[in-house]
Amino acid sequence: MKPQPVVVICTGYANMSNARQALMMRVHYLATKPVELDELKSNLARLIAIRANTKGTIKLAPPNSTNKTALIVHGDMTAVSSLQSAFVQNGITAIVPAPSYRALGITQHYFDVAVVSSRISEEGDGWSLGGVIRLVFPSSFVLMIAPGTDLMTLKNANQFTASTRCWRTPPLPSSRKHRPEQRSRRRKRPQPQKSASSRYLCRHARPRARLLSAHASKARFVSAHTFRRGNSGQIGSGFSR
Amino acid sequence: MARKKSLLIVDDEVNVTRTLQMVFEDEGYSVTPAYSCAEALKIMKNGHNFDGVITDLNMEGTTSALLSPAALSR
Repeated sequence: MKPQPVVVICTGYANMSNARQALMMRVHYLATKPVELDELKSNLARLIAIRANTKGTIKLAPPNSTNKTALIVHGDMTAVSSLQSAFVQNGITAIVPAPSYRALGITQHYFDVAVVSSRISEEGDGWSLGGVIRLVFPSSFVLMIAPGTDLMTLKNANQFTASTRCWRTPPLPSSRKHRPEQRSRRRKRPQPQKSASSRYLCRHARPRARLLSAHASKARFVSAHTFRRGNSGQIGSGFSR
Repeated sequence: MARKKSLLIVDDEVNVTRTLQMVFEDEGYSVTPAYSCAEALKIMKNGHNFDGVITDLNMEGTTSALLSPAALSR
């Protein structure tokens, strides 16, 4: 089968309906008329190059470059500059989107690491950005900077990183599927009586725990005080895969 | 010598198609224009393997049929 071509849609009306339609068709690039030709040309060249490298499967993959690139999204410019200098000292190119909420707009680049503050313009808005970055760059490190490790912060870390990872979980192999005839041959052990709530937890919490443990090596969670110490070596050492 | 990248440009507005054709030919692409979905489908059925397809969303005919995985991977 031949690899699929890069699909670019040009539409005259930049409305939600057209954008949704293009999204449903899974096009690679959506341009609105009047088309910005330089932008269209550069994006088309980029997508065709990715298509050639990946043999038709367009998927952002780490480039074969030894230069590492980091994305820093933080509302506080003092923190941004200290992070940026720490990265540069360790030989990593740091890119800071300005203003911060435009971070998703520059995801046509590949980032090896993304450092996102949980507070960009208001409390908690960085978590959703971190989740999306995690989806866009599945093999990159995503570090979230949070004010502390309280319950809500950990809950947010779990929701936004685990839920994005759930999309990528492969289905269970057929050998693990429910097979009643084999189960009936096993010796039945006496089970302690469980309450309704514990039965619910067993049924729903176990697959989640499996997901988390299977992907735990990819996840990184860094609280703000790690950076406040001002040790740039910590970022470099945490970066190695 | 490197192979020229091939593009299929589909738009029912002739001016738009010709302008895009000129622009991308200047960039070194080999451009095939089509002025309707039916024409584009016919070209794709003939076995052309394009590197890229630039198409209008709102045209006479069904753009979704043109962009279906079956049509694109022919």
